[in-house]
Amino acid sequence: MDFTLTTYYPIFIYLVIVIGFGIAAIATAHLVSPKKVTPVKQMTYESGMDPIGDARQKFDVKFYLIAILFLVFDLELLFLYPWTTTYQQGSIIPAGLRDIVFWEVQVFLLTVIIAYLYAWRRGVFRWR
Amino acid sequence: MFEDHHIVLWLLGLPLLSAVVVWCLGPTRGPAIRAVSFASSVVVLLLTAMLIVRFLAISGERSPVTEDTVHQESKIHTFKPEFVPGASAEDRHKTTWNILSFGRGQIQFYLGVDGLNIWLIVLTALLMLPSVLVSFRQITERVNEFYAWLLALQTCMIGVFLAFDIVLFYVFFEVSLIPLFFLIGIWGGSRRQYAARKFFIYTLAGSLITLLGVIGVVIACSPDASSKLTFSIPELVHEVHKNLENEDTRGYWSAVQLWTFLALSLGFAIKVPLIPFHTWLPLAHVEAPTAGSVDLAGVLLKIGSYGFLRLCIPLAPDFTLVNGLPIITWLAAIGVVYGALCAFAQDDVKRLIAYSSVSHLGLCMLGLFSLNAIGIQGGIMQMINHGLSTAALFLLIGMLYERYHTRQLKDYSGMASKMPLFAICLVFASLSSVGLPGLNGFIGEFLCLAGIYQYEVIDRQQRILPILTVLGASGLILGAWYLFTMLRKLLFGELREPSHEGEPITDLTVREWGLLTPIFILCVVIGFYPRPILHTTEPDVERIGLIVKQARKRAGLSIDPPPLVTGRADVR
Amino acid sequence: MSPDLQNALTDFIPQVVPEIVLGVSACVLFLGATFRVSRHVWGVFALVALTLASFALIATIRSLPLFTEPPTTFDKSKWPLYAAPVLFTPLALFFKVVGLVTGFLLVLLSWDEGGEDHAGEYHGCLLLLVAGIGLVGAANDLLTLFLALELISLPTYLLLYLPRADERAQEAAMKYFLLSVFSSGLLLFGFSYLYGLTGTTNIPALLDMFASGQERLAPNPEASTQQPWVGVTLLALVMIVAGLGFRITSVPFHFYAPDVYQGTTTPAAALLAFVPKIVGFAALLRILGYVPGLSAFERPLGTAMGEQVPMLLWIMAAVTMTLGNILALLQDNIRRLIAYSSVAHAGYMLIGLAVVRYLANAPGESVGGVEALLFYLVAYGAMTLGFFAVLHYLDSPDRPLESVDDLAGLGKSHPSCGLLLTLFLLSLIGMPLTAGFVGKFLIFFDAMGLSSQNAEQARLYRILALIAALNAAVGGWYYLRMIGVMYLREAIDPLPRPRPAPVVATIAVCATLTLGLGLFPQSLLQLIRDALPRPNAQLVARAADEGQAVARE
Repeated sequence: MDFTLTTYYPIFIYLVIVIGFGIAAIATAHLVSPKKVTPVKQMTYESGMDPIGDARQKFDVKFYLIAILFLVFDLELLFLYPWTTTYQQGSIIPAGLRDIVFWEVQVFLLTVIIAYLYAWRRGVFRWR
Repeated sequence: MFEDHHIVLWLLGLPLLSAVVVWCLGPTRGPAIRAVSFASSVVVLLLTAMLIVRFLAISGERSPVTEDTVHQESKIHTFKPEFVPGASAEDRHKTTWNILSFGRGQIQFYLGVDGLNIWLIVLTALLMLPSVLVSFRQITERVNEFYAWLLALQTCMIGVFLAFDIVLFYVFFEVSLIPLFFLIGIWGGSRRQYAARKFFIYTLAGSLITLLGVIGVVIACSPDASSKLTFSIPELVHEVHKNLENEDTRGYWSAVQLWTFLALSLGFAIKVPLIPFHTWLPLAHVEAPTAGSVDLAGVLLKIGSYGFLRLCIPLAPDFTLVNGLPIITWLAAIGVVYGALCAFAQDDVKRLIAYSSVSHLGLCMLGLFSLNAIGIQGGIMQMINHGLSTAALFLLIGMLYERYHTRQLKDYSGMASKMPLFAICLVFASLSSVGLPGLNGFIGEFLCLAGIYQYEVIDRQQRILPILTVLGASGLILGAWYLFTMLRKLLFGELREPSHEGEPITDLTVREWGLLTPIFILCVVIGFYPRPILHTTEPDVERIGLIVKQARKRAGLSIDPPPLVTGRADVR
Repeated sequence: MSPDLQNALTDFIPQVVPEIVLGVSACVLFLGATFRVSRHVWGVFALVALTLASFALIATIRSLPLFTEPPTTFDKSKWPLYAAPVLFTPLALFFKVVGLVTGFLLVLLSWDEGGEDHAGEYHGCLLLLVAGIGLVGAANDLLTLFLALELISLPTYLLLYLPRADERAQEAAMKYFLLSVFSSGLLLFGFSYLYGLTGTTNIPALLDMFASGQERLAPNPEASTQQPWVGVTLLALVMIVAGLGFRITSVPFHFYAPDVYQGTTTPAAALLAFVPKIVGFAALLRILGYVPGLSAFERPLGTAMGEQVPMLLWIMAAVTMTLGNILALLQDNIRRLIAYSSVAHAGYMLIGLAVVRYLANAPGESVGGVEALLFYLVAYGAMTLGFFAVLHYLDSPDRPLESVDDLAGLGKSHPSCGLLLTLFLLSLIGMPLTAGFVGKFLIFFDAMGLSSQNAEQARLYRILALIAALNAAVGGWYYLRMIGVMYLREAIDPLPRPRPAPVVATIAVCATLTLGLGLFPQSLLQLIRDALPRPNAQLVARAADEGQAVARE
């Protein structure tokens, strides 16, 4: 039932170093760096081309939906590819577990299909 | 089959049942609501009468406590201050049911009656009657809720006194806040919200600390995981006493007692109230409706002093004797004088009586904490007497307020010529409160002072000025001073009424007479013949006396003081 | 790979049938909502799905090895049983039942919530949430645990967003989303450290390794600070406690609560007040090794994760309840106020967690700390859900119920609603005869009940009990303020009389539970005790001996 504060010292020291390092890095950069501001330096493109309009352009929200759907299928691919290559190798997936792994992947595919159907029905693919 | 122990259950169940019935009747059926409440309080009063009759019949058979019995292990159970009507020697727990099991022990629904609580139950039942009657005309809004809360309050108060399980005691102790919160908050005066909230929070804060004390005692009584856990107050007292008598555990227990005493006494000190914790009381009294004031002053404050008597002193006897006694007695003595002076300075009659409560309960605490038989009996008498006389005063002031809608002393003068009956009653109640020999107040005050005088002169073992006695006694003189000043301003001199519209002012009606009469009769009876009360409380007071005596032995104080005061014999 | 182990990895599937039922029903709801727009059809469907899941649960109970002979000690011959990703223990059953009941209550509570066209999705999310609660309770693997926690987080984001699309609701959903993702990250970070140290994600194996590591260090306590992996464990534990602390709204991870509660709808706030607390505490119990019978194999309970954890929990409990109560005093918006009150209640519950290590190894009928925590959790759920349900019942679009003053005169204009709100508030204060009192009593009792063998800790936890008592008094003030407003003031603009709705059923159940558990606490307490296997008597004796040996030194 040993109970001493000394047990915590490493954490405190660790905290002090971490916070100290962060503050020190910011402060040093601020103090040491040379500061010469010229109009040319303030320009967006130093090469001389004048920027046209605002950089923050409005982007149609529908693209995001497409991007998210793409990500879903992308990840599905990432997941399925290793499975197909290792499924038959007994050293990675034991023979006794092969069935259950197979069905698990089927369930996964089914889930993705349901999500796809849902998105379809909700009109994600309709370009309104 | 109506057996004896059913009385106790009905005492709890009937008011609760009536409260539910009254609530269900709805706000419009005023007469029915009043009838049900009145009937319920009458029946409860009859039940307590039955209880007393049974109790007096049996009390002769209760085993007397002698000092020799204490040292025999088998006889230590004589410390159990418990008596259940209808229970036989074989089955002593007819009114006990298990609520919550802790494996090693049970929290129980455990009721009982003994000398310490029986008269307080009677007081509760008795004061309910005037509370109901006086509200017949005063309360016109949300009538059903008012009577429901009032009856619920009665259930809680009776429950606190009946409970012999420490958690059950605490449950009733704390639940009693809810009805009074609503009684003050809905039907109170102009600053009722603030008063109700202050009352609730003050008492809640204190009682939560008390809860810790309760848990602490229970746990300290079963120090390791294999021992039995008990929540029953008699068994706890027994355990504590056994541990204190044991040389091995005494050191640990003297440390435990400090915290037990502090934690338990905080909640009770706020409830009594002792002097630094008293600020909620005048406010709550002034804002409460008359029935609320009557129950607050008459019974609820006694829960605090009863808690000291039932839990604090037996569960922490050594600390109480050595350290608690000086602290509490000094606070109480200061409270006696301070309360009296504050009362004198008030212009609001209700506030005046509220401060007089602080003063009177200070005297009561002084008696209880003199820790000798005379003083404790005096304290119990003072609880009952203060309940009767202060309730009467509040009722009378409530009747006056009902007529004129002001309580300021400066508005009144010479009311004796306008309302002679009222004047007689007020003078009578004041005399009872002041402690005129022949009325009830005298008995309690005399015994309290005798008790504290005995402590001062004998325990201190030296010829010093008994300053606590002087302070306590000065409370009586100051009490006479402020009450008679109030009477002079209010009743005598040239007639000056506050402006009033509508109905002409009448003297006391038959209903008002009727509700005051039982209180006054009891005042006179106790004044002339206090023997039944003293007789029934005696065995239990002696048990506490024995606990204290053991504590005195351990503290190295002299055990048998020479009988300088022989007041008790004289009074009987 | 031994056949036993293979069986353990495949046989767990029947144990999660209720969750599968819920998941399939959720899929049907999601798809179905796109074909048919009807609040009532999908509401009834969700109720049917919950009922089916309940039947599935009942059917699975008997077939399970851990039910036929509850493990009081670890039996080496059975160890593959413990390798399963999901372990259906009596305690898991307790959490599953709590989850299902909460599911019923929430479906009824949010019957009229949000737009009609999204009702199907809404109920689908609720079902997934219930499945998540069950899985967290049964999780036996860090990965399963994390997935189960995410199964709760993701639908929660939707539930915050779906019913209302105004700016405040969106802000609330966004705020919750960002902070929740952050907390999940912290949690995962902690998990990865544990995995890196031990090479396993199986919780019993993990706890066993830490416990044996502690034992090896025990002869030389000074050395423990030099062992690098002890420090890293501590770091991992701090991360995990922080990640789960977000879910139970403990300080300093509470700051999202008031804004989110205020911004979102009442049913969503009710959900946020209770569901994350169940899973947060369930996960903490499991990871810290505070579940008897299943923690570090043959060792006293709660020792695996070291001495520092109770201290950390002590500090969190004290700060959480104090800050929660004090900040609640300043609030005017009801939901904001309850948010802070839920922070304060998390503090009380943390006490139960903090004392486990010192109480759990005592013999007897009860398992100290855990029991009180679970009781308090159920009591808290009943009174908070009930409170929110009444608020939701009274709330209407043209007369929203926002500030405390909106309750004025409720005692007169809506007597039964006022009475019920008063009941829930009194229970939140902790007045006797309500579930809240019994919960507080048990918590206080445990905090005061440390044996005198470790005097230092006993003193520390008594101080914690004192802090809790003072906090309860402070809490009394703001709850009482609401009661005062309802009964002691007159309404300027009284609330309209609401129509009867399914939410009434939720209110009724919660009120019954609040009052029933206050009057007859033994019933629930017995259920909890049955769910917690007793610690082995031999272990207890050994722990006591060790304690005495330390005391003698």
